[in-house]
This record gives sequence, structure tokens and C-alpha cells, in this order.
Amino acid sequence: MIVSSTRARWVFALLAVLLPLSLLISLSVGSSGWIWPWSNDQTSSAILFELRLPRAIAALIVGSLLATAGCLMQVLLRNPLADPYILGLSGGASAFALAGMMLGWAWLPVPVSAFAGAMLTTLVVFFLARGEGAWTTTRILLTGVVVASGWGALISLMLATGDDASLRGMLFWLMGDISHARSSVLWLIPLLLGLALIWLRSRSLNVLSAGALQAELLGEPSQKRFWEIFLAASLLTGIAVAMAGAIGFVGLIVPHLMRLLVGSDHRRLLPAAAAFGASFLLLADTLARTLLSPRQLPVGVLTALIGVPLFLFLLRRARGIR
Amino acid sequence: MADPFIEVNDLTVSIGSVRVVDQLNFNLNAGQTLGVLGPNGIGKTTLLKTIAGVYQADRGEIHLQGRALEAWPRKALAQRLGLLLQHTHYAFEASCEDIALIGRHPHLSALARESDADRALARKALHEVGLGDFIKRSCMNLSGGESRRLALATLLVQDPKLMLLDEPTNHLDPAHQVASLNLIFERVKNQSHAAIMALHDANLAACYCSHVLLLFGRGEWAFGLTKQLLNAATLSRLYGCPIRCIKDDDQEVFAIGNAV
Repeated sequence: MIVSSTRARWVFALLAVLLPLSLLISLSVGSSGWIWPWSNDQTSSAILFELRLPRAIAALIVGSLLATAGCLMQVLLRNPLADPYILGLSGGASAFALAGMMLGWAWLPVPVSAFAGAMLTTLVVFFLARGEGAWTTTRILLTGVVVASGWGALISLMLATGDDASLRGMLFWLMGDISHARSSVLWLIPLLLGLALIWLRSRSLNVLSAGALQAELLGEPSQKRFWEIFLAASLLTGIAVAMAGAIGFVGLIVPHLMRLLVGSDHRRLLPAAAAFGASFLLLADTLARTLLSPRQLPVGVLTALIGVPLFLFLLRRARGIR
Repeated sequence: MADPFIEVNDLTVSIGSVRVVDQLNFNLNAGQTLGVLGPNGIGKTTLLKTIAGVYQADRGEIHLQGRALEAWPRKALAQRLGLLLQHTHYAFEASCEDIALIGRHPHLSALARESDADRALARKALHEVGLGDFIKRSCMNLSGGESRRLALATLLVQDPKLMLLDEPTNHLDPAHQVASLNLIFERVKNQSHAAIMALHDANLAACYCSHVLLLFGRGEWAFGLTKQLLNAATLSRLYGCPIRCIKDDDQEVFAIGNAV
């Protein structure tokens, strides 16, 4: 199924409506009731600007980071079913974050240790997969998957030996949770700059999607480019995981869905995925904090609950996937 | 006299422990077509990749337009030299037009986007290879022959002066074999391009190639004018099976001698 420009334009128009709409909804609803964002009341605007807005911005950022990282990882592995965590980044981040929580190091905030874990994993996979020879998809995939299962074992060990008091926090973190994430509107500027920088290289990404050898023959230094993509995707994922834990499915579902809706040309795919990833996570987080209000659910549970059936449905429909 | 378009000096290429060519020497000028013939697994693909600069030779030099291959920046090289790969696999859904369009990549600056003129070139190439009806169709559901012609269209869009083709006629019916080779031949003749192609059909080589390079294995090779080199005895030795030459008033045809 090939996407026409007209249809892609419609999708972008819908995304342009969806993004502000989801922001409006997420600001308006919450455990302290419905508040219109333009309300003048002092308490209301305190709730809006000090509680809901920073969390909503964090959700927007994490959603777009994960969706963009997913697109990049799919080019890197030449597989439309790759996600940002496939090479063990979330495992490394989780192991470090949990270790920090377990040891109760107050001086080391969880996001910092999580980011360190993600970047350590990136370096480990980078140097192990690099080896002597050339970059190959199989090699980096195997390295990543094995490193990921190593982290998985460490995580299980910590969960098995951790005390009951910290277990709940650990589990929330593992499932992905935005409730502690706060972000200033100003952070949207570096985010947009970073995404624009990647977007400018869309044509290279299109060529690299045709495979390393074909790209090399068309003048792209493939080896160098693939490592650049790997590092960029890792950085985006590392930031997202540090902010909100290992939220699943956004990085897989969103790029996949957008591929179906706007096609695989990265000039369209990247902005569509970033915009929809942001809206999707924002709405999921709004549900997470209102569904069983005043109790809060980890947003990762909701993205998975929405993501799994949606994904299986798409997989059944898309016969082109080999 | 100007430098030959491509100049291969003392080139030794191996794959694993198997020698593909030992101290290969040949020159090719614009307007000439070289056919590379040899049995399966003898290293035709590896040799083409070496000439394309994506496989490392053991020894020797390749000069393109008088300049060593490795001295060309990758992008400048891609403007002058292209390789039609034997296998193409598309991982992501895309229209045939978008696939052919990536051939324009080396001709555009890093941040530019393809113009309408670039898209027109892609469509023209698709028409030329007989995929005019496939412009807006997906690259994922093509037959073997259609997929092959899509890859050729991508190379035509890239439009390198030296076209390297790894079995361009694979999966093609006779009409499309001739049509595809005609397209290549036209560019060689009319736009003074040059082509080097691995072929399995000695008859196509006899029709389209001014020169042939025969790979016998263990590094042994023979290069020369097609008319002088292609004969039943040499081909029988090359493939290790009896090959006959059958003549009528118009044509000489090579045929397998002992086929049942």
C-alpha cells in the first residue's frame, strides 16, 4: 500500500490538531477536577503550571524521543519491527537505576544513574559489535540482545533480593512512569533542534534503508553513518529512559503506525512519528493519572495495554512484512 | 591520447583462500563494454565489487579517469561509477518511484531534497525499464524480473559513466533481457559510457560486449576482444562442459553440447 501525498497531508493536518488537543485535555483533567487552562483562579493556575504542565511537557518530550529513536533503530537494523530498547539500553538504564534505589544513594538521582547505565550499554555494544571487521546487522543485534539479557539477569537479582519498601518504586520504574518527571517548556527548544538536525539527514536515512552496500555505492559512507545513527538513537533513548523509565511500545508502535499512514520517506516519517509519539504518550499518561484517580498507574502499563492489541492488529493487516 | 577510462594494473583479488584473479591487467575506454564470464562461485561478483571500491584487493591498482580508486571521495566516485547488485532486498514499504529516486543521491548536496526534475528522471527510468505502470506501486510485491528491472532503473537514475552490472539479466524473460541490455548498450554508445557486466549467457556477451574477461579459477584469467576470445573450445574449457558453436547465415550461437 503506497501512501499518496494527499493522504499524507491529511495525516499531518490531523496530527497538527491532535497535538494541541491532547495537551489541552491533559492540562484540563486530573485528580483535582476539570480546570480550563485559561482559568484565572490562583489555586487552579498553580496546579496547572506547577503540576500538570511540567509533567505534560515531560510526556511530550519522552514520547517524541522514543518514537524518533524507534525510527532510527529501524533503519539501523533494517527491520521495521526494531524498537529503541532492542539493543539493551533500557536494561542497562534499569539495572543502574535499580541499583541506585536499592543502595539508597541520595546523592545520585535516579535519572542520572539511569542515563549512565544507558550510555554504558551503548559503549559496551559499540565496542563489542565493532570488533575487527565491518558493521553488520546480525552482529550488532546479537551483541545487543545478549547484553540486554545480561542486564535482565542483574535486574531479576536485585528484585529478588531487594527489600519490600523499595520494591514498589523499582517495579514502577521498570514499567515506565512519568509521575516524577518534570520538564520545563524551555527543554522543548533543544528537543526540536535535535529532531530538526536528524530530519535534515532524511535523504541519507532513505538511502541507508536500502542497505549498507547499496548506500555505499550511492556515495554514503555507510559504516560511519550507521555508528552515527546508533549513537544518536542511543542518546535519544538514554534521555527518555532517564526521564521516565522503560516505557514500552511507544518506540515500536508509533513509527510502525506512521509508516502505514505517511510512508517510509523519512522526511515525512520522522516528524509524523515525533508528533504522534508525543500525543500518544501524553494521552496515555493522562489516562494513567485519571483512570483510577487519585491512584496513579505507571504509564508503561497503559502504553503496553493499548500497544499490544494495536500492534497485533497491524501485524495481521500488513502482509508485506517478511 | 587520453587516459583509458578505467585501468586495472596487476590486480590480485581473493575471497577467503580462493584466488579470483592473479595479476589482472586490462584497460577499458568509454564506448566499450566488457563481459565477465566464468562458472558459478568463481568470483565474478567479488571482482565487480573490487572494481566498485567496496571490496579490498590483495594487491594492485585500479585507476578511474586517471585517478586511483581509493583517492576518489566516496560521493564523487558514486557520480562516476555504479554497481547493479545481484540481489536487492527492500526492508521497508516504498513506491518504485521512491526507490528509483535514491539513484539521484550522489548528485545532490547533503541537505537538498529531490526536485521535480529528479522525480521526472526517476519516472523516465522506470518507463525505460518497462515499469511505467509501477511508479506509484509498492516495491514489496514485485516479481523477480520486476525487482531486477527496478534495480536497473535505480542505476539508470544514478547514471554513472562506468556501469558495473552483476548478472543484469537474472530472472528476466528473453524480451526483457534484450530490452535491458539495449538500454545499457545505448548509453555506452551514445553517451560514451562504459559497462562491465557479469553474464552467464555467452550469446548475450557475443552480441553486446566489445571485450570479454574469462575467469577460469585459481586466479587464471583471459582478457581480449570478444570476437577473438569467444569460441567453442575456450567456452568448453571455461565451463568444464562441452559447448558447440552453431552457425547459420546470420548468426553464430553457442549451445550446450551434451544436453539431453
